[in-house]
Amino acid sequence: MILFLTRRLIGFLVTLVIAAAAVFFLLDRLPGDPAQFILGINASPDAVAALRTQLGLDLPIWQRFGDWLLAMFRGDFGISYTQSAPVAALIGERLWVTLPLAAVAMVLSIVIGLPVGILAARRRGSWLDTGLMLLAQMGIAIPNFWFGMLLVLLFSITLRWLPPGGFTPWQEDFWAALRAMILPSLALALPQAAILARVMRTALVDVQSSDFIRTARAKGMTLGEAVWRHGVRNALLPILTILGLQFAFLISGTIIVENVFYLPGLGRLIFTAISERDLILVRGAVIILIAAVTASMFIVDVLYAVVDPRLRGGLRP
Amino acid sequence: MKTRWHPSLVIGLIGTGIFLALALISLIWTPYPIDRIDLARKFAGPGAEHWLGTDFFGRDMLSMVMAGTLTSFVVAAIAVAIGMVIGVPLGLAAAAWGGPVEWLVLRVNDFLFAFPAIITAILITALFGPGAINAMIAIGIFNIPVFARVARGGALSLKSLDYIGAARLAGMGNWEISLRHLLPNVASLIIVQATIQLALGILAEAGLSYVGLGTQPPATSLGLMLKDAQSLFLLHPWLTYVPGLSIVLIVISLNLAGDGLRDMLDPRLKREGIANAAA
Amino acid sequence: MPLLELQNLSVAFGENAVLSGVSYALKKGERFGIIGESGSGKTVMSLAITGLLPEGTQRGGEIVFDGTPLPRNERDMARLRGSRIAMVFQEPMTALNPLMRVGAQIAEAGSLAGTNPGIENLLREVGLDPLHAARYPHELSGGQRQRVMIAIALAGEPDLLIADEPTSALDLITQRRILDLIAEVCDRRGMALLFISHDLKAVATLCQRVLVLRRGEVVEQGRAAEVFGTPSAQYTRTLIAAAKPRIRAVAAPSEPRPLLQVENLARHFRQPGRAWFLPGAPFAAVDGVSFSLAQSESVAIVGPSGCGKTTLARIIAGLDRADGGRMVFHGAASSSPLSPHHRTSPAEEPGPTDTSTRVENGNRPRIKSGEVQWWGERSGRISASVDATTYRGSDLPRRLRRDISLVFQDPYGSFDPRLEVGRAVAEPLRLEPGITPAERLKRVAESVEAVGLSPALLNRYPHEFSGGQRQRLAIARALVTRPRLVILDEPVSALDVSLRGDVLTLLNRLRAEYGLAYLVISHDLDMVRSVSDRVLVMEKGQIVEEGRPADIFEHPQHRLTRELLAARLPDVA
Repeated sequence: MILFLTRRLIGFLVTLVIAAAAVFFLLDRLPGDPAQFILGINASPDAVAALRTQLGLDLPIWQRFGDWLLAMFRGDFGISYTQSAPVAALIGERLWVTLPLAAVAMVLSIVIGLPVGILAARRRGSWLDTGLMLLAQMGIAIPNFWFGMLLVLLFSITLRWLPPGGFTPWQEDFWAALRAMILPSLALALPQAAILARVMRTALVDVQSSDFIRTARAKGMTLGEAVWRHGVRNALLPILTILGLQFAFLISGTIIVENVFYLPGLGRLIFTAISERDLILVRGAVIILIAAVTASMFIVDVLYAVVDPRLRGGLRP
Repeated sequence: MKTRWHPSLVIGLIGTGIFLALALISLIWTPYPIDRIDLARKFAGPGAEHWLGTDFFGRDMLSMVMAGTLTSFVVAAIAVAIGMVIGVPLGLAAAAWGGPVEWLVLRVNDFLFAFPAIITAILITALFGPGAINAMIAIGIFNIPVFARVARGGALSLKSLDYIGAARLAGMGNWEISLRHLLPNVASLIIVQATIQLALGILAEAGLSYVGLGTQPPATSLGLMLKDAQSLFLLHPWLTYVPGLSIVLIVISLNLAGDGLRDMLDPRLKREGIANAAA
Repeated sequence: MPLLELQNLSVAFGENAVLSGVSYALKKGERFGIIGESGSGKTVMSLAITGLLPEGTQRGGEIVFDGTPLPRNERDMARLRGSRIAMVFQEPMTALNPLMRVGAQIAEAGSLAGTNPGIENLLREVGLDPLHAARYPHELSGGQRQRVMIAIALAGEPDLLIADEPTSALDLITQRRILDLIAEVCDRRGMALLFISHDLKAVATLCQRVLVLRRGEVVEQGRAAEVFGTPSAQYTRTLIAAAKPRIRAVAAPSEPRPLLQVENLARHFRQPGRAWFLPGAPFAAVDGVSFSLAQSESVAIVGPSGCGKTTLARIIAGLDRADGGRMVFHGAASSSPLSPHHRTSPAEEPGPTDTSTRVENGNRPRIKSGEVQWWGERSGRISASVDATTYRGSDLPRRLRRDISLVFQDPYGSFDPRLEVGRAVAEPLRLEPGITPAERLKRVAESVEAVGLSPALLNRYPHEFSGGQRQRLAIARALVTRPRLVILDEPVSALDVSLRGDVLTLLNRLRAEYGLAYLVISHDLDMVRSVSDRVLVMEKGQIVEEGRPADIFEHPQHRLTRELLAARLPDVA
């Protein structure tokens, strides 16, 4: 088991470094000179050259990459030119919005999606099943940001239960911050919950016809009992694969959904940075996103090994 | 071979067909030109002159939906094409050759999976500025590992079957086996996946355009219509209902078609495969 | 009062009647056998008795267990299972939950039935070491898993054990052991046994009363000795005849010329090591095998599963590559005619059966003295001298690949479901340079006719043929390049017993007519006796004994040979 995990960990780190390299080299090709940009158009060529040396911009590219990687490990993501603040701090601030949002959405999607899928599978063929699956069909077709708009129209404008947008920092007012999270996380969670419900139902229905369920019934269980005690755990395997991809979509989703609710998250930071050509900021933010996505896939691999003993090696017969 | 038409396939194809038709018609004709601004007529609700009303510039919503649907389809379709054309051969090669080729393909897949569409779109926009082409490339790049994985998975389950061994004995090399035996048998899996990715591509394009990284004006897309509506939707929700519902209907149609296709192809594969000794 | 009684049971899926009018009774502690081939409805019957029929089936008639009809309510029926009626299924590989330890799965059976079995005692009773309780199913072999299944069945202390083909997926020696185990366990616990199988010998060994099932109907039933000794139905007689090995192989030519020499062949596989970067100990699948095969000779390699015989066959065919040793193949025909064949014991041909089509033999040229003739023409490959090529497996030169063919074991997986069978059979003709399309059609038609099928069927797809027909098509595909050596990997094990005789007879006839050499891979000694004139016994990658079938059967030398012979079930009647 340890060996399996070590291999996966190394694979994850290697992928991360290569992805970081890709981002670094890609953004490096941008025309224009950062030093010039910082000092302005009227700066003297000497001043620009001096700044370049100071920023280490005239070092060979591999060396700059290495330095950058090491700096990141120390938590130093560089200084943003447009905001004159450390990138790490800027991103960190925004992560307090983006990460909790993604986490709550993930939890909500599992808590809503899996039971719906199990229920639909148990009552396969009934009106309940058809109804739930129809809802799920609609759920996966709805763009999460549009759903957010609809939620705002319903809960903020018509019912006036929840704020239509904006965010107070956690430190100032915890409960207000939480309230601000409800609609955006629902908007993110429901389409994902619909996907999970469908996959769960399919997995359970497939599992129902497997041989070990027949054995379980032969032992004295009804079909329902057999599926619950033996089927669900086996059906979790395909669910885990989906969950890994889900997280990637959730992260992308938060960036977009923030726009609907005017949340001060990573999304707005990035878009402003792009329009202002602040590449250091863009670079740092993109790396964080990639790391989050790759890490979630790694965690899924680990969970796979925990759930499925066949992956852990073990004795041969 | 008899084909039994699955109801959801039929409904799905009809729905998709309607939207495709609207999209294609918009190439030659729309009720009003999409860039015609008529401020006197802004925020009109649905009526005889403008069947779906007008937006805040007085532009006809129906025309915009038609043109926007076209953009969405084109972007999603090209992204699927990129994914299939690169991903499927990679996946088949990994299964047919195995060894270091497979290792390399799997590592490339891992790498590509780290780049969901939005991240690639951010990078491309930072370098080259926003545009519909960005969206195509960004969505396409993430499609590659998806197709590669499906193709490889399908081919691996076939590889151990004896008829592949028989083909090798007949002197066929890996290329020929991939082309003549692996590809036709995984084709159905790939087609079903293509409909799923098409639907996902339409959603992704909408998202990217909504945040300004995708289609840019004067072109229009369903996501862009939602972006325009963002600042006003609290007062004029109609502006969001129209493009939003269009997206929902197109995606449902595509998903229904994909589901129906999968159900239709699956039992045939099962029947042709190992005979189930039911008795 | 009988323990189990079926009164006019009928089961139908929609319009298909799978069982009709089945009636019989089973007493407490009795061992009752149901004999049925595929399509007979035997599995549906066992599912009906245990209440496991799939949704949408209509059931008529009555099943009475210990005086009361089976409950219609799912929950009550479920409680009956496990505690009074237990079942063991055919496929041990998929029957256990892969995520749960086997000990826990056995314990669950006990707790459902309300008994409190000692897991360790149960495991010992089925012949497993108690430490296996902590293992997961994938860590056990097929035989071990089947023992676990039996332990699960016994945990609830049932009155009736239903065993549906419990040993068909296992190899010969394990089969015998599991059958003995079932008999022993039923005796010790006074349990009734309903044993369902297509294997007459197994049923005859275990059961006191038998019933023959065909296409959902009872053909006859009675005490085993009577049914097998004096069968009243024609079908029963056909089955009994098919179970007796009557076919004798064609004798080899008296002046053998070498065709294939295998010298010290070895093939190692790497096992995963303790750490991911450490290579594991190599495992020798083939460990220094040497033997030779003469022209038109038929040699069999027998051994238990895992002995390396399939790996060896694949290397010889050119699908895999040996790590050590070499093979010498004598390829092209010489310009001088081959010596005549002396056939001392012609193959027996039984009468026509339902599924095969007979082809007139009249105008097909037989082997004439002095020359081997293929389909009435001279074989086109003449060269100045005999060509001996050394190879190690996948480096077999392309021009020689047409001389060696392989018939795979599984008739269902050996054809691409998307190709018409005509094209599949023609595939090896790519190895013949410069063949015209017309010539290609002719060869395919000849091959297919030679195996007793009509060329009119060639544009159909594999799923439209039965298992027996597909195996014939596989043989046709192997013959289409006019090979000198045909390797057959378990050629009949996947077929119903009543069809096996036909295919074996066909193989003998083809060999006699075309002078083919066979290398037959099998675990079944009896089958091998019908097609080969020399047998090699293989264990753990090495040949441990060699000889003519008659000699091996009467005077086995090696321990494994004796075990294999002991594992054979006694003949029926």
